[in-house]
Amino acid sequence: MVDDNLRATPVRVSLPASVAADIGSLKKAVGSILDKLGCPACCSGHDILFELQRDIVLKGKLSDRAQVFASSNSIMRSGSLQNIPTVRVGITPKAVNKIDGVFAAIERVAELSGHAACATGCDMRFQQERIFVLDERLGVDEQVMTLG
Amino acid sequence: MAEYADFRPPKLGIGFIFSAGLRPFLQHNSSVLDVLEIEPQTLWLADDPFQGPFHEFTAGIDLIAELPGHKLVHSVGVPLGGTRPPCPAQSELLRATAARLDSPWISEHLSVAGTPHQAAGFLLPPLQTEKGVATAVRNIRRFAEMTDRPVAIETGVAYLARKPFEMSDGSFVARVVEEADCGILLDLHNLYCNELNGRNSIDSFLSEIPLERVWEVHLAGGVEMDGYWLDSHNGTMPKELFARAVEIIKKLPNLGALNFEIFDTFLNNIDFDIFDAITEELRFIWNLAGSESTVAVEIQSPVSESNIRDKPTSLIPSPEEWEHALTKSVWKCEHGKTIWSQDIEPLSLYTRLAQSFRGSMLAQALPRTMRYLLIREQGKISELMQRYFLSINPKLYTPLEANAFVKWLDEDETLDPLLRALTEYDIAFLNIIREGLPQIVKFPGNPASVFEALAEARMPEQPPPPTWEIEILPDSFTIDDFKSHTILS
Repeated sequence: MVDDNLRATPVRVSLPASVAADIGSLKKAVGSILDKLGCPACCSGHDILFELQRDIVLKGKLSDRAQVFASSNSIMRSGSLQNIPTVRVGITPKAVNKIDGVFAAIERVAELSGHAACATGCDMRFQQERIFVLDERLGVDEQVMTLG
Repeated sequence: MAEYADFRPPKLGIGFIFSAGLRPFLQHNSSVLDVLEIEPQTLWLADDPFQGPFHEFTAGIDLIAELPGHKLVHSVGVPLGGTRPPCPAQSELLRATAARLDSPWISEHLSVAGTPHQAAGFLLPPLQTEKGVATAVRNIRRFAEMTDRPVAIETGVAYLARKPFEMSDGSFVARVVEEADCGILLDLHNLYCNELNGRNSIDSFLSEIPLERVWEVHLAGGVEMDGYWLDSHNGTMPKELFARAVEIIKKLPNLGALNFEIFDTFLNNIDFDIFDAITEELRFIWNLAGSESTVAVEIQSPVSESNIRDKPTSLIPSPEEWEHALTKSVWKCEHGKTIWSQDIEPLSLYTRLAQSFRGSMLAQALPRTMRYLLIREQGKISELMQRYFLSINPKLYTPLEANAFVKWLDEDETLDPLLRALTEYDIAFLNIIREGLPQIVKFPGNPASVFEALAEARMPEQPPPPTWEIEILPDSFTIDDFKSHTILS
């Protein structure tokens, strides 16, 4: 039987933003990285507080972000568990200096920060998202997708 | 004002509006374009859309500077046709960017973007009266002083019909550029829209403007919606527009650049063959530039004030009244309150278009939140979004819009525990960029099954406890990357 006190203890995972942004971003297969964190104890309510770090080798493309390499480091925040394997991820400055890296960063900046570009027409992203979600998966008539 | 009366633009060549979506095409053929036109505000953070401070993603500008070809700065945040004066903070950042990229001139829109304190969320047509001319001239002179560059104003699209008390489109532009002593960015697709939509013919417009002041031309593709041809930048230019451009370009003796506009969303959908076809068309047109410029161009006298005085002055709004009425109508969907009944339909269109941009900003910045809402609300999503659009004014910058939406969802009591966690997860990335600090997101359980369900367009179930705390660490770029060019207003 699972101890309720242990069940209430939160599971803590640390992820670099570049990895976390891909999880559930719906651009790639989702959940796979969290699945691979895979300490079974997490799901059984044990008191596990660990920090996970990851190393990403860009090889010139941020699209290679999914290449995750296990490291032998064990970094424990609580100090209660010393031997949980961890993975380290980072983006090398060299990679960001490459055109692809900065291009990808520009794409992210445009997604997350900037002013909309100049057009006096329409932006279809939201409607495309609606069609993807509703039309293709749920078979709702396209007329329903009209915004506004 | 800085004196640019003798300015003649250098012959830069053909180009595209820069976006990350251009990457594969530049890799495919890095020398095919002579020019990259940069919209700097798309790489900024802003704490307030009007007053700033504004922070530039300097690494991005540095990369652009290193790419082959000439660079031109095309501002999208300081439209010069309304009573909102050009923002000093934005202008200073644009000045620095233009200097770094060695942009020979800066272009901005001869449009209205709302009132001085209220964004319409869309570029709207300026009031084409004497007072409208004076307003635009004042703005252009000020903008040129602050940016320390020659300024070219872009001719806009207008889905509204011209009012009886207004000058013709060409006369208005002619008056403005002559009095402000500036250049023209002739957007031929905008003119094409205006012609197809019955507002003004291209020939009529061109017969009224000083063609020697055209420094730059824009071309683009569009799409039909609700009986209007939209300037949607969604692909190749129409064949008819290409044919018109070939003839028009011959009459432009001082053309410095010919740039193509295509929105990132659509750039992702075209292949190398289409890109190559567009650039071949641009090159063909460019090679004809100015070839018939010795042909005398008859410049018609602009409409004088006396023509306008024939109309009852009580019906002529001030620029302030014009902007307020348009902005409120577009933002608040009060289309029926216009005194011009023919405007009801186009004002509805403006509302729809403005909302499409706001919705798309949210889909980009809050992908998990929006997917969850779409699945949960299904047919009621329009009603929900409409309530938001009517309640909250447009924020222009993605993080501001995203944060405003999440706050509104909370106040609207729309958040359930799972949606709250998803909004926190999405907002965490915006906060990391702005604050540069790790963010902790609480999830009611293992988020993997939630993300999987969203990807499959299934309504996710709330995961069982324990709670997960996901710490998201800054690792790619944060506010530090924006700090090297931050301008306080």
